[in-house]
Amino acid sequence: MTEVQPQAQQLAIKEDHTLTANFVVGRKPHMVSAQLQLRGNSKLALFGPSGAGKTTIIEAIAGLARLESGWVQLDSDILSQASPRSRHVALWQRTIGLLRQPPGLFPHLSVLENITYSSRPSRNGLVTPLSLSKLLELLDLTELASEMPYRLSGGQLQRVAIARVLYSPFKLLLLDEPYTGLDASWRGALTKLVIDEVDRRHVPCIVVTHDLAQAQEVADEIAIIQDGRILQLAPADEIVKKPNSKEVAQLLGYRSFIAATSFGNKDNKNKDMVWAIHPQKVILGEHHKFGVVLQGIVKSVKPAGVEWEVEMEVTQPNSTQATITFMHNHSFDQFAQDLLVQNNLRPGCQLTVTAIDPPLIPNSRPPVSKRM
Amino acid sequence: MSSYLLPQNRSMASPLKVSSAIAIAISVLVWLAMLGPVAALLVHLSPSKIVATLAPPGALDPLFISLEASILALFVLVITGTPLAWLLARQKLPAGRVWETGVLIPLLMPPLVIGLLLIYLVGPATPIGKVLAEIHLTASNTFFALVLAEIYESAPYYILGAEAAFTKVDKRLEENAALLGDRWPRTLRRITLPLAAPGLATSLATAWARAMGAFGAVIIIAYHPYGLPMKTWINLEEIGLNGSLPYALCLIVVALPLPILAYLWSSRAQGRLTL
Amino acid sequence: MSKIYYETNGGQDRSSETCNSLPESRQRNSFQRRYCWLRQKPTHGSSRTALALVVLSILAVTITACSSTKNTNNPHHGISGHVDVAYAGSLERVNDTTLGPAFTDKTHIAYQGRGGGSFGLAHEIMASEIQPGVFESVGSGPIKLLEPKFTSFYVQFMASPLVIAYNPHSRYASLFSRVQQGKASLKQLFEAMTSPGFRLGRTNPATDPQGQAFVMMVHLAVAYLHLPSGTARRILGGTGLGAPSQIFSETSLDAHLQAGQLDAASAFLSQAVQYHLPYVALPAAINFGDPAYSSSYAAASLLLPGGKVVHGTPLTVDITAIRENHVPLSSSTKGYSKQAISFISFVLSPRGRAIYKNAGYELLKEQVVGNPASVPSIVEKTVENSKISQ
Repeated sequence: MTEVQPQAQQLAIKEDHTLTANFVVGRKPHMVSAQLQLRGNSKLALFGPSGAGKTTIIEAIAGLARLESGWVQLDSDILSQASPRSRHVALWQRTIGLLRQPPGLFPHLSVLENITYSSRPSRNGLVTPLSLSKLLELLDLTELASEMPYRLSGGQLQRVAIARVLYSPFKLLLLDEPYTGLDASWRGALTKLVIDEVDRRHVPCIVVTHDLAQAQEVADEIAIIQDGRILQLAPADEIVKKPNSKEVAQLLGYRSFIAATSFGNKDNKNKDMVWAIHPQKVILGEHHKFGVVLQGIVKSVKPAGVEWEVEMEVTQPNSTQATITFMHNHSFDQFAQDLLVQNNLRPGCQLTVTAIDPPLIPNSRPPVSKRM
Repeated sequence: MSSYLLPQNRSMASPLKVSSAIAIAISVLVWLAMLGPVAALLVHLSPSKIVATLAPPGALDPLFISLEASILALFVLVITGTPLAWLLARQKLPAGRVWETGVLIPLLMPPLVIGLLLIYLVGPATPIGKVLAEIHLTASNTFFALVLAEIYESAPYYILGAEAAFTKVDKRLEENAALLGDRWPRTLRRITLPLAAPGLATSLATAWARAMGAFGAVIIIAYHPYGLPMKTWINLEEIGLNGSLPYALCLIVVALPLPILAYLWSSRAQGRLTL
Repeated sequence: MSKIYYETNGGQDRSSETCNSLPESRQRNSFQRRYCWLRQKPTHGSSRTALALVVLSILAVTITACSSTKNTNNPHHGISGHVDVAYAGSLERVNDTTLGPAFTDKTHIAYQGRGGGSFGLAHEIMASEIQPGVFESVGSGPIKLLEPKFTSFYVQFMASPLVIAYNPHSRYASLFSRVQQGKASLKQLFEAMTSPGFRLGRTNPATDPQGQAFVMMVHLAVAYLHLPSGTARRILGGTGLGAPSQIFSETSLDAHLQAGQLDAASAFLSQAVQYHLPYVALPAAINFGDPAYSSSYAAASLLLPGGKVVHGTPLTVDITAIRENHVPLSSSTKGYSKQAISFISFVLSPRGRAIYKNAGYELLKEQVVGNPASVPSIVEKTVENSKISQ
C-alpha cells in the first residue's frame, strides 16, 4: 500500500482525556449499573461471565444504549444524561473508537475501504492515527487490502475491524472481546498494539473480556462484573490476591472456602471471615510459612488434563465441616500412580496440604463450597 | 431409486419420493399456469399482425406514453416512498403499524375503486383539483392523471418492498458508521442505501411492472392519453383481438426485461453482502 | 328430490351436472364408494386430510346444488336451462335488475347478463371469446359485423335518445334546469357549453356509438339552432373527435358526473331516468332517438381514427340471437338456441316492452331486418302479434 496519511507522522499535542460515567441501563434480565473514572492512558478491563452486562456498559458509554439514570462524561462534554434534562450527543460527534462483537464490517466495502472508512478529521487535539501502511503491516493485512469481507476468515475479519477502529481518531477506546477469533500467536501482538496506541494517544481504554489472563495482560485495572454490577475494581496485579467477596473470588477461580475460625487460635477478628482456596495454589505437605495448613481425608482423585483433581474433606480439630478441591500436578511425582499412592492421594487416606497465601475474605453469604 | 432397496426401505423412502414428486408436479403446473396467458398470446400472434398493428406512424405512441408515465411515477415514488419506507423500517414513526396499514390500503382496494375515489379526491372541482388548477394541472384525462393513477397502483409494492429491504440492513452497521464519524445522511449514502440496494431494486422492479400495467385506476381518471394497457383495451373495443394483442406483446417485451435484470442482479448482489 | 336433467345446450350451459340432481341411489353409491376407499386405504396421517377433503367436497356439492335448485323448478314450456345475454352497457341495470328476473320468473330459464361496449362485444363474439345466445346492441352496426356467420337477422324495437345530463351543483345548473322547464332556450344552453371553463364529459367516439352520436348531435344542433360556425369545435374542444380531455370510459362517465367533477355529460335518456340524473331532453331532430328523422341524422358524419367514416343513424336498440354450431339451420329456431329465442320473444312481448319503456327507452314499431327465410318463426310471430296488439 502506497497511500500514507500525510499528517500521520506529525507530532500531536498530548491532552489528558478523562471519562467519568455513573449510570444505570434498564436491561433484561437485570439492570446494568456502572461507576467509572478513567483518565489519561489508563486501561480498564471489564471481566465477568457472559451475560454479566459488560457489553452493555461499553455500549452505554458509546451511546448505543439508553440510560435509565445517570450520565456519561468525556472530558468536559456530557455525552449522555438521563436526567434531569435528557441529553444525548450524536454518535458521529462522540469521537469514540468502538470495536463491537461481532465487529460488523461493512460487507459491501473492501478491507481497505473498511479500514479507511472513518470520515472524522483528527483535529481539536486528537492524536492522529498510525499511518495506513504501518497499521496494515502491524496487523498483517497488506495482502488482504483489496479483498471483500465475505472472503475472509473470522480472525482476519477481527483484525480488519481492529484496524478500522485504530485508523480513526478518538478520545476513548472501547474494545469488546478484541481477541475473539485470533489464535494465540496474535494475542501478544494485538495487546502490544493496543497498549502502544493507547499510550501514544493518551486516551482511556476499556476492554471487555471473559478471560482473566487477557484482562491482566492488557489492563492496569480490572473491574469484576456480575449480574449487571461492578463487584470490585482493583489493579490488575492485585485483584487475584485480594478478592473482596466470595462472588469475586469465585469469578477469579477460587473454588473452596474454609471458615477462618476453624483454626480456633489467633485473634477474633477473623470471625466471619473465610479463607478462599484456589485449586492451583495448594501444595502437599505441611508448610506453615507459606500459608494455611489443612488436614483431612481424600474423598476422590480424578484426572483433569495433565493434573489430578483432588477432593479432600477437611477434618481438622475444631473445624467446621468443609471440602476443598485442588489440583495436583504430575510433574512433582514422576511415576504417577505409584506416587499418588505414596502421597496418600487415594480416597480414604489421611492427607496434609498447605494452601498458599489464601486471601481472607468476608463470609458475607453462606459459602458455596460445593461448586463443581 | 436403486433396485437393491429392501421393501421396508422402500416404504420408508416412498412417502418422501411421492411427496417431492407431487410438489414438483404442482410447481410445474403453477408455473405453466402463470405462463399460460403469455403462451396463448404468442400462439395467437403472427408477425404480420404485429407489423400491421405497430408499424403505422404513431402506433407506438402508447408505448412511449407508458414509458414516460411509468418512469415519472417511479421517480416520484422513489423520492417520496424511500424515506417513508426507511422510517417504517427503523420504526421511527409513532404507531408504525397504523402507517403500514395506510400503505396497504391501496393494495387491498381494487384499482377501479381507487380510480373512482381519486375522482372525489383530485377531480377538477375538488379543493385539491382547484389547487392543481392553479399550477395548470388537471387530474382528469391528462398525462398527469395517468402518472397519478400509476403511482397509486404501484406505490404499495414499492414502499412495502423497500421497507423490507431497509429492515434487512443491520442497524449495527449504521451505528458503526456513525461512530466512525458519519452524520446520518452520509451513513445513508455510504451504508444503508448500498446495502438495501438489492432489495430496493426488486421492489422497484415490481413497482415498475405494476405501473406499466396499471389499468383499473387509469381507465377511470386517465382514459386519455392512451398508454399501453389502455391502448390494448381500446383496440379490443375498436378493432378486436387482432388489433389489441400486439400491444399486449409490446407491454410484455418492454416491461419485462427491467424486472428480470433487477431480480438477477439483486440475487447476485445479495450473495456478496452476506458475511 | 326432483329428478332433473338439464337439456344441455352446447357451450352455453354452464351449470354442470351436480350431485344433488342425480337420482338418490346413484348418489348413495358414490358416497359409499368414497367411504370404502377411505376404509380400505387408511393412509398414515393423511387420512384426516383426505376426510377433510371429502367433507369439503360434499359441502361444496351441497351448496352448489342448493343454489342451483332455485332455477330448476319444473318448467311448463318443456324448455329449461340458461340464456346468456350480451348487451350494450347502457342496458345493464334494466336487464340485470328487472328484465332478466322477470324473464326467469315467466319462463324458468336462468338468465345471465354481460354488459360492454356494443362494438367491443361484437368483436369478442367474432373472436369466439364469448358465446352469448342473445346480443342487444345500440345501433345495428355491431350486429352487421356478425352477419352472416353468427346471425342473419335482427329486430329493431326501441330507441335510446340522447340527452344532456348535468351536475345539479354545477354553476350552470340553474341554466340547465331553466332549459329543462322551458324557461330558457336550448340555444342559450349550447352557447353556455362553449364557455372555456365548461367541463363536458362524453364517451369515446372511436369505440362507443353514444360517443359518436354525441359528436354528431352537437354538429346537428349547431345547424338546427342556427348557432355560429365554430360552435361545435368550441363545445367539443376541437375538430373531429374533439378534445381527449372530455372523453371518459363508459364505466366512469357517470361517476365523474355524480362526483361533481363535470358540469354536463352525454347520456342516454334511459341512463338519466334509471340513475336519477337531472337532464335536458333534446329535440327529436337531433337526439338520434327517432327513426323518422333518419335522413336528418344521416346528414352528420364522423371520421374515425382508422379512416372509417360513420354516418348518423338512429340510436336504436337492436336485438339478435347468436347462432350455435350444433343446432341445425333447418330447425324451427334456424340454428339459434331455444332459450335465446324465448328471451327475444319475451323482450318483444308487451311485458318486456313495458319494462323498457319504464326504464326510459322510446319504443318503436318493431322491424325485422334480415333474410325472411332465416328469421325464426316464433320471432316473426311475436312481432306480428305485437303489431296487431298495437
